[in-house]
Amino acid sequence: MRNDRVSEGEIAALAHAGDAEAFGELVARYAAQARRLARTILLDPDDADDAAQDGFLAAWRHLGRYDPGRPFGPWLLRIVANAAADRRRRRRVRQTEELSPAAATRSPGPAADADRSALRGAFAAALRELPERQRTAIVLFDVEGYSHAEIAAVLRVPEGTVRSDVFHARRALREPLAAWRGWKENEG
Amino acid sequence: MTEHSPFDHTPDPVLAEALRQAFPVGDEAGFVRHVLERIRAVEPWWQILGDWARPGVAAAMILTAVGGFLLGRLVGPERAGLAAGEPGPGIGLEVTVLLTEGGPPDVETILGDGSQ
Repeated sequence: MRNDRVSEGEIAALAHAGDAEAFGELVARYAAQARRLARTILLDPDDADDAAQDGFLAAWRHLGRYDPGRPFGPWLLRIVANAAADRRRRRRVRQTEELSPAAATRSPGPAADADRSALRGAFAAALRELPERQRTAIVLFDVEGYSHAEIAAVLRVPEGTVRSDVFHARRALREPLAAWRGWKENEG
Repeated sequence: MTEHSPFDHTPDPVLAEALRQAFPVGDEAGFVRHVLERIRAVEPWWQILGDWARPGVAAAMILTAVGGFLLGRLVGPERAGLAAGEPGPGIGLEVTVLLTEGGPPDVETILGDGSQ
């Protein structure tokens, strides 16, 4: 991996000049964010990965339009969001993702697993019920750490709309999240 | 653990963890590899043209040479005289006379049906 002091603008310039390795650096940096964003929009892991790949490819082709003076993340995520929306339009989502439990990293016992599974299921159901833009806004804000202004640029909505979306999403997820917090406290 | 208010303008770490678990992204290395493979598969058009330019020009030269040779063979030696200024077989005697006579041609010769 390149030195962190090398700016994303410089890496993007190398990539624009045809350096695939430099672009690979950007892909590695933003793969998780791009995939999670696409997944938030499409709710299907396979479709989401395809959309994220489409987004990276589109970004590679249009690197000349990227302003190196600005952060790369919002620019890329805007493209990935477009790719996900385009994929959703072009074909019906094959199936709604089971947002419930992925494999646990440790296994404290069957009862605890069942609790965890139920809590995840409740949280996932509440998440699925959210409007897509609210879901996207809360993931970009709370998971990826983007500012309201940056999210507004990604979603092409006013900053106030993002604040409102994050607020409403948090409020809708409050109950299942409280149960999750309680479970985490008991476990901890 | 304190509860985050929906009004807070700072990311909530517990919510972030719950969201990460709801949208897990595994096999990051495999994903990066796939993207790079796709990028290498779609090289820029100028690079593709550049790669094809030399063999393309060579192939065009060979085809031109072979085509010219074959055309020469097909036309045959009976047309070779055209190059020396002889009239071709499609050009009639009347026209030949018109072109070679010193004076202006007779109107009847030009407009006639050629039976005279």
